[in-house]
This record gives sequence, C-alpha cells and structure tokens, in this order.
Amino acid sequence: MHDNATGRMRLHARLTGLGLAAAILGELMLAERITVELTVGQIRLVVLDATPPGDALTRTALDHIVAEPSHRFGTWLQFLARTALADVAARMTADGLLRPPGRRPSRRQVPVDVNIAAWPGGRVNLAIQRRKPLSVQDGVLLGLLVATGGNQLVLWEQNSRYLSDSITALPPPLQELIAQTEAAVGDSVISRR
Amino acid sequence: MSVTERRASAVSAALAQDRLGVPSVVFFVISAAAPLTVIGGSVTAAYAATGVTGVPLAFILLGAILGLFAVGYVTMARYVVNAGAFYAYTAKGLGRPAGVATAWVALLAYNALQVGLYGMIGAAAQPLIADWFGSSPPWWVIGLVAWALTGVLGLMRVDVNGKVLSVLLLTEIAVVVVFDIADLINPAASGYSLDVFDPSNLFVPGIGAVVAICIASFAGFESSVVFSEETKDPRRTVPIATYVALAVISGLYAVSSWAMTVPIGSDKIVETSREQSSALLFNLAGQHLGATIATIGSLLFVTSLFAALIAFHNTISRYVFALGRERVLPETFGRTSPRTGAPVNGSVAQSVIGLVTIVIYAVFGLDPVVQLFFTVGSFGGLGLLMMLAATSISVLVFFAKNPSEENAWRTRIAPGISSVLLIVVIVLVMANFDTVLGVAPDSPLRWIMPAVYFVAVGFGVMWGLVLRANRPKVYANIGRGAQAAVGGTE
Repeated sequence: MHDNATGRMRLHARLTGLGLAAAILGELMLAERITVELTVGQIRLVVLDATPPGDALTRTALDHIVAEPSHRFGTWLQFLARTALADVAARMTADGLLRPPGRRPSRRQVPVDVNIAAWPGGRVNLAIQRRKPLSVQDGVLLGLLVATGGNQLVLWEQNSRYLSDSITALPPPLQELIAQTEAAVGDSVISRR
Repeated sequence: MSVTERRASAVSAALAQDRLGVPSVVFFVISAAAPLTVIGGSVTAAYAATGVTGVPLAFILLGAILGLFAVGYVTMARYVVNAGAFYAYTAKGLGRPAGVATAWVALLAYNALQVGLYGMIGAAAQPLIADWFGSSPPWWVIGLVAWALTGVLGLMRVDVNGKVLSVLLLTEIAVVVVFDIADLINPAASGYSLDVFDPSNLFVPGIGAVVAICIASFAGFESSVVFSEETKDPRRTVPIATYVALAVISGLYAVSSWAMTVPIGSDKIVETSREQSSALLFNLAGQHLGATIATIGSLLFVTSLFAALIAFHNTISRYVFALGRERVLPETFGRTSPRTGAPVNGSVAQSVIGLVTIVIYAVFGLDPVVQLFFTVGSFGGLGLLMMLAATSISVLVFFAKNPSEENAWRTRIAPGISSVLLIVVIVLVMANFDTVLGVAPDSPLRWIMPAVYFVAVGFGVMWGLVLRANRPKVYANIGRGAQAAVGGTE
C-alpha cells in the first residue's frame, strides 16, 4: 500500500510485510495447494497438492512448506514477512505492473498504470458502499486490510458490521489466515519488533 | 526437535538470524531498570524520606527474593502466551477473573511508576538549566516538556533505538562506577563503615517504605521473558539473562548506595540526603572529580530519566493494547496506527494520565521529588509487589494443576519460598505506608491509598465474572494478548 505518486509507504513496513506474507499464503489457499489443520495442539499448514504454481514467488513458498511441514502457522508468517515486500514488488515489476526501480537510493517504485493499481481497492469500496457480498478473493483482501489496520487508510467507509460479516462469510481456513495475521500484527506491536 | 533437524531447517535458520543472545537480553533488561535514575533519584529519596540507612542491604535482599521469584517465573513463561505480562500468569494460575484483577493493578502500578518520573525529571533538570541560563522554569514546565516529547515519541512508536540505548546505558554505568570509585577513595573522617549492611539498620520502623521504593527500582526486569520467542535458545537464554540482569542490577544498586555513604559517613547520610536530594550524587562527584564530570553526570541523569519515561510509557500502552486485543478493554484500544504500527489509543490514554498528574501537582504546589517521585513511585512499588506475589502463587498453582517434566525446585520450592517472602514484604510495606506517604501514623490516607489496589482487584474480579456470564468468547481469551485473535488451541 503505497502513495501512487511518490511510492512512499503508507502502512508501516513490518505490518506491510506480514500482510503480504499472509497474501502469499492466501494465494496458495485459494489455489487449493495448502490448507490449515490443528495438529499436535498447533495450527499448521498442510499441503493438499504439491503441483508447482505458475509463478516463482508462490512456488518458492510452497516448496518451503513441503520441505518443512512442522512449523506453526505464525512461524510461516514471520518467515515470509522478512522478504515479502521485496518479493511481491519484484513479481509486480516482472508482470509490468510496477515501474522498475530507478537509480534513486530509496528504490521506491510507482505503478505503471494507476487505474490498475487502484482497481482492487476500488472494487472492495464499491461493494461496501452497495452492501454487496464480496468474492472470496476480495473477502481475503478485505480481511487482510482489517488485520493489518490498512482498512483505516483505504476504505471510504468503516462499517464494522459489514467488515466482520465479510470475514465470517469466508471458508474456515481463510478465516484462520486472517486471525493468524491479526495475531502476528498484535504480537509485533507488543514485542517491539 | 533435535539439533540436526533444527540446523537443517531453512526457515528456522532464516528466522534465527535476528534472534537474540544472552547479552542482548541482559542489556535490554538493565536498560529498562534505568540504573542512574535509581542511584541518583531513588537512593537519595529512600535515605531522605525514610530515615533508614539500611538501603544497600534492602537492595541485596530484594535482589535475592526476585532471583527466587524468577526461578518459577521463567519456568512458567514457557507455557504462557503473552509472557511479558503478569496478568497472563495469574489468569492461567488463579483463574481468568484474577487475571483481569492483576491487569487493573498493573495499569495502576505502572502508571504510578511512570508519572512519578515526571517530578524527578523536572527537579533534576532545574539546576542544569539554572546553570546555563541563569534561572530555571518551575519543575512542572520541564515535566510538561518531557511529557509532550514522551507522548509524541510514543505515538511515533520510537522505542529509543537499540544502539542509542546501548551507548546511553554504558555511559550511565561507567558514570556510576567512576562516581563509586571516587566516593570510595575519599572516605569521611570516621573511616569506612559497613553499617549500612547491618540488618539492625534495615529492620527498623520505616523498612516497608525503603522496600517499596527499592522494589520499584527493579521494575522492568520482568520484561526479559517477552523475548522468549526471539531468543536463540529460549530454555537457556531467557533464564540466564534474567538471573544475570538481576545480579548486576542489585549488585550495582547495593554497592553504589553504600559508596554514597562512604564520603559522608553512614551517620550523616540521612541528613545530607534531606538537604541535597537528588543533587547529592552529583555534588559528591563535583567535590572529588571536578565540576565538568559532575555536570556530565547530571545530564546523563536527565537522559536516563527520559529513557525510563519512554520505556514505561511504551510498556503501559502495550499493556492497554493487549487488553484491547482481548476485548477486555474496549476494542478501540487494540487498534494500531497504520503508518507507525504504534498502539495509538493506549499511548494517548497514558499521556492523559501523565498530564492530569502533572497539572494536579502543579496547581496544588506539591513537591515533585518527595510527593510525586517518592510517594507515587512507592505506591507503584506496592502494586508491583502485589503482582509479583500473585504471579508467584500462580506458578505454584499452575504446576500443581498441570504436572510437567520440570523439577520440584522450579515448580514448588523456589516459587513457594518467594511467595511467602513477597507476602511478608507486602505486609511490611502496608505497615509502613504512613512513611511512604509522609503522613502521620494515624492519617486515614495510609489506608486509603493501599485500599485503591484492593478496589481495583475487586472491580477486576467483577469484570472478569461479567465477561464470563455475558461474553464467553472474550472470557476464554483473557491473558492471551494478541493471540486472542486466534481461538484458543490449548
């Protein structure tokens, strides 16, 4: 979530990292590669289908999960969050969505087409305004915005009833994804990291 | 998980890169205790307000009691999510209503410890400003400046940067050690005396007040367990770091509070502390080491107080945040600022309390050192003692209910002894609360002030029961902090 003119970050880097890490896991869940299970008293990720997904980013993440299934859900968020911002930016650059980083030392990037960049947010905002139910994908996006506090930045209207209804309408594994993200964000606030 | 398995894990290895070792955690804990704040401020305040000379012995005894307490505390920490907060332990050990009660006590006590520092920073900065500019504004103006800076930094989520903190802390400790040496090689005419370590100089009327201000000096050591998840080897790193930090802190406090008496004479320390207050440490340094060193010391005293203000402010806003996440406090307190990731509303709430306190003290013309720093700080110390005792008992109960592989020393013997000792200490403090407040022994205030904690406990338990009846989901998550978002898996 960046200012589209300057590329300056609007959401704190740590929260952005966790949100994007969750989004990567969300993509794998939506593609039915992984799901969530309660094993030995811990919430863990379980691989349903190890077929490599089309893009390098989710493929690498899936490889890690296949190789080390014994980690808690929260550990995966911490692990992916370390590099998620750079990884997602690289994928968006490769897909022609972001301009390549200039020579500026900040390496801030701006979108190629502002309309494309604004579309998912706009779609969610319009749905909220019209009180229309969201697609599963948009439901996850909204849930992750709420979990990271990004909703305060991009939503036109903070209708807490609509927000919680949209999240509870999601399939249980995706609800767990959002709850785990909220917990990880909370822990990062409490443990001063 | 075996060692080889762990080494082979790419995920663990990547996450381990920014994990902490023993020195980092020790460093963090000592900086939370703010040594120069204690030695420059609390020690002279203790001598002056209580008239008891056994302060150095009190530090040694309290260090030992806390060491015993820590045995059970760090052991149980492995079984507690949200391990940095005492109420998480009491919620698990004594039941969730007790957890809410502890949380209320914690908010009172930590706020008392924090706002007390505003009085001291005002009084400590005044002579410096007067030196530089010829005159100084009243203490509360300085207090308000410190308050505003603390509030803004809290909202921006500026934890004093690790490196800045390390440099400040090392300089602080260096200053303390140099001052101690200078004191020790310049004994008073009466020569060296170890009177201050003689139990007969501590176990006198007023001991409870000494204990209250001294225990407040250790506040912050409990934060070591926050790092359980972030250390290389939680089973070893956190316990070792906690014991080392406690030993260093109590040793440093005991030696320094003794060294201060050497050039003055233990018979005159009370009188001199009353005359010079927090300037005493630096006046002594001025005599032995010259004015420049003394000024550097005074300046570091102010920065140390400021660092402590920020540390306590952040502790409180995180506590409030965790309670907001659990929905024990209104949800709005669990919100973060998107831009900074700061627990905004918790931070604002703490600032409001600070402002109200400074204004009340300024309007009524109360003394910033004795009536704010010492009295309110000691009041916070009593709350801290109550939390320590409740946590210690929780450790006993928890391991009695949940048998584990931990040995009896950790789960029964050490927590048992520390529970008894902490309760004895609480009784002493209550018995001497007139001295803490500086009121006549028959003043009703001496009972009203400690009673505030019992009211908080009562309301806490009641609120816990209300939640059990009306909002079972919230009730089930009491004590889980941010993990409340994830339904209980235990």
